[in-house]
Amino acid sequence: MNTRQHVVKQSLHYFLQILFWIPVIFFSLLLVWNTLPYFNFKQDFSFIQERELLFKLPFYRFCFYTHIAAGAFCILSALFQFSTSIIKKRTAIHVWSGRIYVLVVLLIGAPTGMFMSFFAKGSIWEQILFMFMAITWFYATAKGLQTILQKNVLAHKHWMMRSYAMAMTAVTFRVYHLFFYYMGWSHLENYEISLWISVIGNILFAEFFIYIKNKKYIQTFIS
Amino acid sequence: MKSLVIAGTVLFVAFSAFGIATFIETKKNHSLDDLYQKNEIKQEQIETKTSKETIKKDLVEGNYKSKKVKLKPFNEKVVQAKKPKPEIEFEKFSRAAIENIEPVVVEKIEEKNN
Repeated sequence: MNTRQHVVKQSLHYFLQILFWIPVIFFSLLLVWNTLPYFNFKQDFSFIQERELLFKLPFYRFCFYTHIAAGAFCILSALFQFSTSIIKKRTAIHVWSGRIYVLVVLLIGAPTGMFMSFFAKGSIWEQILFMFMAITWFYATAKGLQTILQKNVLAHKHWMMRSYAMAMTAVTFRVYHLFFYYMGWSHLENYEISLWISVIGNILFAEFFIYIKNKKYIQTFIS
Repeated sequence: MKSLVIAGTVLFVAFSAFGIATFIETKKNHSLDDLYQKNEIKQEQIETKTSKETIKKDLVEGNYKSKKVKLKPFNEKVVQAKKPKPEIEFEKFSRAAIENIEPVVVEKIEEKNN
């Protein structure tokens, strides 16, 4: 490869990274921003009004507020986790925000998500999908922790990508939901399809990314 | 760190079990579908109420031009015509009816009875 080809390849790589990270950062921050009003603990949100009966259960209320706080924190902290410059130059930031991410997912985000999945809107299949999300999020994060403790950085990277893909379903779901809303789809139809596309789409995207980076793809699940 | 994974797993299993128990308990009294359906109706009611309020507000504030609401000119005759007709009192009506019975009809009935 000559110098010109190398420069073009590198520029394309940076361009694609910008193309990926700008919307990811924007929508992540937007999600966190939109989550903040819930912490005035008022009931005048359509999401809460729709689940009026469930919000009478104190444990459901507790799970909801801790889950959205944990989710917002995970999405924010994960933004620092994939930056190569932070990993190389500010390792302490990566390590500590990673530790807190793992702690929050394993002790708060995934268990509360699992509890709430039993009352998810939609059919039994949407409830199963939420359970699958909670289990996958928990398992991928636990594996990410386990692999880094074994000093297996590559496997750690893969498992944390899978974990982040699950955390980001909250963001992608809202993007699809907004898109289909402008297409004039009915509310429940839009909700169900956006949910499935966001979960399966994120999994496929993460797996595709891991696949193109690794020749021995199947081994990424074993390690 | 290993203890963190163990603690997380215990919590996860406990929350799942509690979720199943709460779900069964809730389902005894309420169906989740009903809950969402009820709320959809509620949402519709809120929307209707809001739209009515908006129209009222528009009319009060004079925004009717933008909404293309046509106001009919005041017409006294039209108002009078729309006034409800006074009800006829039952007694007067029945008395009038009796008085107006034609004697021929009465005679015919008497003939039949005989």
